[in-house]
Amino acid sequence: MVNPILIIGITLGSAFLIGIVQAFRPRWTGWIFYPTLVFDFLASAVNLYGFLSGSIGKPIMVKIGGFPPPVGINLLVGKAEAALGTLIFAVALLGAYHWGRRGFPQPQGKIMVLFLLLALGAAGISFTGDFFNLFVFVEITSIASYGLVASSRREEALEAAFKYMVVGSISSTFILLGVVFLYKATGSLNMLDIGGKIAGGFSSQVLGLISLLILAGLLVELEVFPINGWALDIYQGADPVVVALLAGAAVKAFYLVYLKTASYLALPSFFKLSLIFGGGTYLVSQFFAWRQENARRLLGYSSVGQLGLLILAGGLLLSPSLPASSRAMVLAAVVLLILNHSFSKSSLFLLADNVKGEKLEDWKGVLSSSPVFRFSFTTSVFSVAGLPPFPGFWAKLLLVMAAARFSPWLVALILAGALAEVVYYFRFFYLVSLGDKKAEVGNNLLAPLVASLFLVGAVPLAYKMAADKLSLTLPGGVLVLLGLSLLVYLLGFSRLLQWLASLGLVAYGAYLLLPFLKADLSGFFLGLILAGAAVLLLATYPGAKNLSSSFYPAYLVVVFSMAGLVLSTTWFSLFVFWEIMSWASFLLINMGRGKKAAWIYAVLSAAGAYAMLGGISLLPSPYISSVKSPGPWLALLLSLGFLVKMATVPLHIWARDAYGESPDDFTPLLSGIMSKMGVFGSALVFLYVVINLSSRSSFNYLLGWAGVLTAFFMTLLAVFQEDLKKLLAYSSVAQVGYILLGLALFTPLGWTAALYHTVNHFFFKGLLFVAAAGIVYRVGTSYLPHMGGLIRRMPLTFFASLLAVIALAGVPPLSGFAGKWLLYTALIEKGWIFIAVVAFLASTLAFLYSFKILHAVFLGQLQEENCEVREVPIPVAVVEIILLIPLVVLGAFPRLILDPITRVLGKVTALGIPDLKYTKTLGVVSRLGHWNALFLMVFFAGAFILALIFFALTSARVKLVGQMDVGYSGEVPRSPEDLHFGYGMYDHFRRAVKWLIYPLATRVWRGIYEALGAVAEMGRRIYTGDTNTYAAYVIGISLLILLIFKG
Amino acid sequence: MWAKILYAFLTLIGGIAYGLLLGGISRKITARMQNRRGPTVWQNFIDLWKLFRKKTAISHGVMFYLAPMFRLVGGAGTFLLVPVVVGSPYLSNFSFGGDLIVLMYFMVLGCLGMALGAAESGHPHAPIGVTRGLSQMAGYELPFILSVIVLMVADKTATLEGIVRAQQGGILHWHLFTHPFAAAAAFISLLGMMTSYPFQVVLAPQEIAVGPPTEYSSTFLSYMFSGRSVFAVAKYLLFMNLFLGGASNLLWAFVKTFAIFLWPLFITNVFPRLRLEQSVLFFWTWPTFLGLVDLLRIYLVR
Amino acid sequence: MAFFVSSILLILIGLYAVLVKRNIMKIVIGLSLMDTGVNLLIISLGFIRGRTAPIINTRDLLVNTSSKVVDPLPQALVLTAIVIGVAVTAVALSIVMLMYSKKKTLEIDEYKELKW
Repeated sequence: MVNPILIIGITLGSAFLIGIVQAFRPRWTGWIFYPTLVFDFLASAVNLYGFLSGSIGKPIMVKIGGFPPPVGINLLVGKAEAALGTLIFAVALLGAYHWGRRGFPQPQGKIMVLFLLLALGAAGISFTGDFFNLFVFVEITSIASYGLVASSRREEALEAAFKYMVVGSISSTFILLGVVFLYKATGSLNMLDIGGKIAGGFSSQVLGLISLLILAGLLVELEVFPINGWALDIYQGADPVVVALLAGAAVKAFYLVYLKTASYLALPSFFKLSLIFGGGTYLVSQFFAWRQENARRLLGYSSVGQLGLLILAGGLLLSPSLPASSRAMVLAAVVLLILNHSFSKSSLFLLADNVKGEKLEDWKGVLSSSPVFRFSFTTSVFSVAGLPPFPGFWAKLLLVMAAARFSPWLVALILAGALAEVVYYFRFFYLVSLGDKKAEVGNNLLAPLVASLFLVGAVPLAYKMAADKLSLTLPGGVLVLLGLSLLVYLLGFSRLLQWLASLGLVAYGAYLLLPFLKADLSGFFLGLILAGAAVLLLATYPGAKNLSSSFYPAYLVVVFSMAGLVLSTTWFSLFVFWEIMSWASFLLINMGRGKKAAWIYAVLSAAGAYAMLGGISLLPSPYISSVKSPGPWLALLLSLGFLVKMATVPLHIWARDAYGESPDDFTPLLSGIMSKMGVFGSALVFLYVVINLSSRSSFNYLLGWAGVLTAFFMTLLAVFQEDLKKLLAYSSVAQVGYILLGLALFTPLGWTAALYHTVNHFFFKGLLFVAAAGIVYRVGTSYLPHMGGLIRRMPLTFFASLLAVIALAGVPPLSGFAGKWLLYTALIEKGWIFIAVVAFLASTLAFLYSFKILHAVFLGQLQEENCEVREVPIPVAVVEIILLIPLVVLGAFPRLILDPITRVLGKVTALGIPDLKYTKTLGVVSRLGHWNALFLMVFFAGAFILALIFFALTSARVKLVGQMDVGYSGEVPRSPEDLHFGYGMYDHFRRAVKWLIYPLATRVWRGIYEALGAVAEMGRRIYTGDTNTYAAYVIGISLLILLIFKG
Repeated sequence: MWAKILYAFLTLIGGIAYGLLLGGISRKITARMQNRRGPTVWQNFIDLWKLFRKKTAISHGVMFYLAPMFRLVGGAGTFLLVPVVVGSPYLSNFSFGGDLIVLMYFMVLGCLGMALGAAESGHPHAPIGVTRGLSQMAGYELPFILSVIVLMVADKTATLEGIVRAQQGGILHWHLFTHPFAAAAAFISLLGMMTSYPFQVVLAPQEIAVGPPTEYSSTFLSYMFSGRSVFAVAKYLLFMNLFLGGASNLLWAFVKTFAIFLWPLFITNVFPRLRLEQSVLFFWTWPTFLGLVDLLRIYLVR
Repeated sequence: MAFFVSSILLILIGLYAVLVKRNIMKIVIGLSLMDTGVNLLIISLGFIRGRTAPIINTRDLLVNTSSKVVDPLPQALVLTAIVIGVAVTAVALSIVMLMYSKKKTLEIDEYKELKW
């Protein structure tokens, strides 16, 4: 145990000493400065360790001057204070190191004194057990801050410092008045003493007003809306290191003392006050940041918002009606939020220090500047936005679960703020990852790196805390696999090694998860994931490709989080893996060409996931089991996330570009397997929630329409798409629409169709996307009009694509037809005939783009620039062959999949097995009709071969001519370009359906975004920048607090 | 089993011949309506033989080479999936192979193969014709699907045998009369299927030189030709089974298919041509509306 | 009571300057006035009529001290507060000096670069 007075005393002494040394030997000041901070940090850490290990049992009470409390001043350091002290000095050390490397402003010694005083004041605020002492420390902190903010001597910094000073003086006046009145009313200044008196029944008419005066003063320092204009100015104008220290450390001390004061003074209205101001600040700030163009001010809005969330959590803690279990959750959440915010925001501000210019514009291209910058920035943004696996994510989870006991509206508020945060942070992320040229970035990156490593290091702790409080268990094997996946990053020096390691890891994963491969819904999807990932991974053979070093780790994380997802037994676990999958896939999509697409994907994913979390918080039990009498809202909330992943209309707007512009090696996984996680999730919702819905049939019917309209519109858009991968993207989304339709039918046959199509869609769309990756790799473009005639150069890929397209179009005798046949049979049996009509029409439209794929890529005229193109690389070719085998085999023997599905459905008692019989002559017999797959295959193949033989025997001498040798009205065409019909192939049809392809959804979503942005921009105008106005806000809001909450 | 295949094969030969003959008749009738003498009704046989006996054939690649086989097998396959006389051991073809849904998708196979072969020819007119054909298909499929679904729901079966059985017991049990609106929709879409005027822009002999098969000649074309003929007969048979109560013997089959064959023929010679978007929109309005009337009726009665 | 009223008045005057005056120096003066007002207020809270200062400078104060002197604590607090007030004013004035050296003006309207 280290006596906390030593921390205060030594720091204060060092500050004096530095002042003296500065006068004689300015260079030596550092020899005092750094050791002092290191000592402070170590001393606090030792105490914290003591508390955590239990060797220090009760809070350390330090009597100053030998007077016992309540007469003398005392320090009171418990677990929370020790932790906060450690945090403050950790951040201070990082900031000091960073500043030192860049060079302190002159005179160095004086800046160091202010720096030490700021850290000391912040620590003192949290350590003190005496109200007047608190005031003194607040003042020390404030004065040091004014000086530090002004230290850069930039105009903006001075302006910010002045505003802070005016507002800060008013706030400390409040605190001082409050403290003195408190003494007058209670006769004591000791916190414990006063707390004890009040808890013991002491009451006074003015006590409420007095406490509010203190709290109002603290609320100013806590930057609540709308009295936080000065804080935003500091974030924008001051030196980033100072800001890191203020936001990362000092403010947290104010937060702690706010909580302590509020609980000692124990006014019943405190919790409402905190909820209102915290919630309001949180929501408003996250929202105001939307269109902020200044990077530092944007981070400022985020900081203010995070503080708001903390105050809101504090309100929950102060609430008398919160059950003890929820209180523990909120406490854990507060700890994690503080940790998360301190380190991520320090890291971000110290990174900002390395970027020239403050506008978002100036940040373009910084991500490609250095891997350290990329790592720190990504980690910090992920943490601060509350994404897995970082502490902020678990904090959000805990807070939402606790808030759910309180009011669903509070949950909605928290999640809405979190969504707004994702919107602007990932807009930031998108702008930052833009730019082809490397931006010039400073190399002072160690401190931000350390801060972000802290965040990474805190992950197990955060997970453990959340898991304890939520009694959350994640499948251990999957966690091991996820950890190993991240280790693949360390092989970043060689892509080939990473590829081999990934293959090995997937094999190991399959071995590890083998016991879960049972004939049930999870096992079914697990099999698809593991087998599918292994095959698709094979095709990502790096070769000479320009893959990012984080490609394989992220790829593996997506794969294993999907495995975890389908093995989940609780909604929590499902949500956690869902988020991990979403954000890992976001990173992968962001590695591609479509940065903006990745942003939109991020926003919609987050919206869906938060809706899901909201739904989960309303569930009576976290276990995935039948929910009794759910409301339709619950079902909708739980489904939204899944619908987004399936890109169901009108949530489809992300899909085209996210698929089309993601790395070519990732798209097969995204389309073939990841989109099926939406299917899996929806299946769970149908099975466990919708099933008990009183309005079940209309809910299902509605989703059925959503599915079929997705199929219809996406097919229609695919017809007019001129980019190969985007065309396949639309097609993929359309096919998933059919699957949703099958699920929505909620009949055994409908589910058979859906599950069959799930597997089969993986085969043919995986094949097509793998082939597309190979083609893009060879041809260098995904733009269809630049291709054509490639059958001559890539015969194997053509053949594979041909079979895949036949399967895609659902034409017998290949495997695709089974899905169609089952689906239509199921639709007509159920009597959804209008949907059946649309589904039929959509599948007819699919013929249009099926032809387009084959023609525009492989047929027609080979362009001159493609004359030297070679067949796809061998691994891709191998995967093509592997994937086309099932297309043929299933075409003849659909029972290879239908029988396992029947077994799976046998486990699903709510549904039962489909009414299908199998006979020798008629093949599969439904109640409606029959279909003999084997016969069709044999008949077609036999007849085809017979016809071919007959033709070869009887036909005339066949003469093969060159590609330009066509009947062209007697003219000789000059170049293949003139003869190729590869652009605007369906323009005539487009004229007919122009009214159907108006981008309504995109326009509406963009309109909503723009409108909200405009409102945010208007709202921000309340921060006029005028000092008098800010002072007036402070006075006005404080009076309001006094008037409203005095009771 | 082998007997069945033999019968089916004989029927197929008959089907091809019948298709060629119908083609000749149509040329004759058209000529007469235009005050020409016209070729003999056997002209298509003569043409086929001529093409088949050509000494050389130009090929543009593998897919081009295989496409005629696709076309012929696709056409023949479609034909063989439709029973000529339901219940007859000789004339029910391979209708055990699948129901109506199977048939409707199998029909596409031959067209798809031909389209791909044509596209490989490298002649721009071929893909132009193909895309027109596919777009037109998107047009006429809607009313056709509507009426087919009406029948499937009404008869609670998706098999052609079942649909034919449901129409037994007199002419008034034909779906043509029990579901007149659906039948009207289907017969209008038949015009699109047969690519006859006013929906003839797909082939447009003058402008894109019959579109898809424009580069085909000699033996290749003979295969295409026979495939097309038998495919047409398959469609007539399908319509006969769907709406005209099927056939109880071969004679009836001839009479009914001939009647169906005449319907587009009469339209084709008195109408001008529509642009593609016009035909698509036409199919998606009036015939669709007709189909919806019966679909709604079924939906409400159920 | 006079102390009480006058201290409140001082605070209000200071506040008025902070809220209304557009000159930076006047705002700083307003802050100082507020500070002084608060200090006076604290002293007046501890004042008990008829008692002497809590400084033991005569012998008779040694017995029954607590009933003869005013509450010493507010005075101690004020001492600290005065010191802090001086420090704040010093920092404020140096910031104002720097501001003036940059822009050569003390109009607060000229210092509205940071907003929204």
